[in-house]
Amino acid sequence: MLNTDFLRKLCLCCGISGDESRVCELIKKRIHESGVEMRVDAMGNLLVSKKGKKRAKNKVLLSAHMDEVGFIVTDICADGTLHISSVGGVDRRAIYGKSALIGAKGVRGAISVKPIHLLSGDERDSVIPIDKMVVDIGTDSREESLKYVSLGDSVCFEPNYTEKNGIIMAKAIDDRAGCFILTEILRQELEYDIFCSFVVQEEVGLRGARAASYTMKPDFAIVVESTTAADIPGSDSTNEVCNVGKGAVLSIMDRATIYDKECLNIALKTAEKNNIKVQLKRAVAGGNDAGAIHTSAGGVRTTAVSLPCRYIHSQTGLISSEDLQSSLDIVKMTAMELAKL
Amino acid sequence: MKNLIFNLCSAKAVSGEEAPVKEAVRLALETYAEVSTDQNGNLFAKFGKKDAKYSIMLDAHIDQIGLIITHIDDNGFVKASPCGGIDRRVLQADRFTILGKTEVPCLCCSTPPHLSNGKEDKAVAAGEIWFDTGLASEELREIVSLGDRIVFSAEPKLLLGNRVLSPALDNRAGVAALMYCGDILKRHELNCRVIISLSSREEVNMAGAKTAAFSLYPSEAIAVDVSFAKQSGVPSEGRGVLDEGPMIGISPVLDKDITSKLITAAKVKKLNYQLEVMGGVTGTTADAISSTRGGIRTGLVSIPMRSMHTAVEIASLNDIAAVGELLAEYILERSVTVC
Repeated sequence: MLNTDFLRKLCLCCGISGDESRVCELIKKRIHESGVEMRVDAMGNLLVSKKGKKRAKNKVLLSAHMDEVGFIVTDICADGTLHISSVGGVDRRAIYGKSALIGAKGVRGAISVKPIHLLSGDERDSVIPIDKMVVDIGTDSREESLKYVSLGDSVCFEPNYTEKNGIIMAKAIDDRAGCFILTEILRQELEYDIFCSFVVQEEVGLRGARAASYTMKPDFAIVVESTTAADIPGSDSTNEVCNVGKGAVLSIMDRATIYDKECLNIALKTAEKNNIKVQLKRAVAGGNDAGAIHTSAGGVRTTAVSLPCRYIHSQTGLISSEDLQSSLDIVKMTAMELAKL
Repeated sequence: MKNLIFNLCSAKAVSGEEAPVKEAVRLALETYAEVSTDQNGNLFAKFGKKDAKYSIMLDAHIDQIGLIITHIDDNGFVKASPCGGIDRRVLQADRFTILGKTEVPCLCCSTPPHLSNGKEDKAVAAGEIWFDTGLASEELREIVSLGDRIVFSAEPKLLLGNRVLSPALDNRAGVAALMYCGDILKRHELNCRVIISLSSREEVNMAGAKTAAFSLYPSEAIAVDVSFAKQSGVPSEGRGVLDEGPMIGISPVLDKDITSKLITAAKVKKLNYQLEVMGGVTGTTADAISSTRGGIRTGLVSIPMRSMHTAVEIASLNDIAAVGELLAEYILERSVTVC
């Protein structure tokens, strides 16, 4: 059984896009005694290399993003409430009435809700837009709020992590699970040299990965991510995308990337040989850092391994610990295959 | 007060299944009162003069809103109906707990935007509320049954300025106020009988308060509940304000004498108070109690609250304590004048 204590720490940590330093510090602390060389670049990406027992024929980069979706304080109203703007693609139906932590001090607040008793018929069914939502931090005036929060403060969904019966429900599974997988790999003794990038600003346009990939100049890259699993009531098997519990997800194409076919086949063969549960992503949907990495410099042969995750881009995602183990195994073994190709 | 309210709000008790909160209050009440329960899920704590002719019922409902499981599917998802006035706009992707044989964490299903077919701005429909435990259906059916309740799982948290955030504040805030009042009164000798009534099922049909009032048939009653405070996006006329004290209710269905004596008690005790004027029924257990048997003279005191009926209800610990103090002062005065 995988020890998930560090995943818990990562998920409970607040780090929306552009404010990833706390996540970065956690990761540095976790791997600094694992025989790695690391540095943080100008954007905040954590770039790591680790020597294996043998020299790799190809330079293989594993990449996961440290940032999560959230909000940013754009204004403070006369009644003390905060106006916010979303950072990354937050699902607006999954925001109303949720609590959050604001700024470096972690001041607690909640998206204010007009009580149901005071609504007219239509209002009861409509989700209001984010620019009409405000955060209530328990204050009554702008002056009072200004003592605790400032414009530009990060607003992060209430940290939560529950693990029971092989199911993990947590904030920021996307993509702390990917960060966790990379740290687990870095903590092991490896056959070949490996390179990792823990990148910033994925949720606001795959920005960190672009720079990291430029600096690292890998031959191959594996992006380790989470992807939407829509295997829920009301959706049929043709639009589920992938299923929780059916293994690591390998991608053929999404909205940012057509993946390298040979790499995909190597991953599929590796899975078969080692009895690792994998599934193919069954939709051309979403996009991740592969979009930036495979087009960086003269091009990088790229593949993606994703965890099937329900309710991605909300305050809590759901994954299975079995899938987490499968993803870790397939990422590590495929990386070794690519290193000696 | 913080410990009391956190303790009460940590208990998960949806309408019709109030036992967990009753466990939480029983020990404290038993130290000074005669505690009993009835067939409808109510809990009574009687104290003061044993054979007194005059009795005052203080009622707060003990249940909270939630949902009730109506279906378990073959993939381990459960479907549920509202149990009380659930706001469907706040459900999606929120964290809940199924109160089965053991507590099962779950999330309310949320359809990803790419499958929403233009319904991105619609709240989840009433007949389509599903919950996800991640468990296989065989496993799930061993611990969860039809009829089990589902409740918001957020733990109580403190906000700035002695304000508290919890989905159970409606009406554990009222329960806490009555317990605080009881703690003051237990140090006094009373000429009347006081009955703290923690009534069940308010959020569904007030079945608890209705039958409690019938059985107790007190000389008078005061209901304590939460009410609307001023908040962003809500017209402010007639709303209470957080931290400005108890909201004393004025309504055609409430007893004028009790209302005015509550105001006097606030003035004597130098407590801040606010008036809440309603044109008819109050939407609280006061409505049920006042028309029981041949009628019971009833007053209403409310605790101002923001974002009612959500996982992020907000109230002030100061207001809750002040309601307790106000009621204690009122009863001490009543104990002298009516008995």
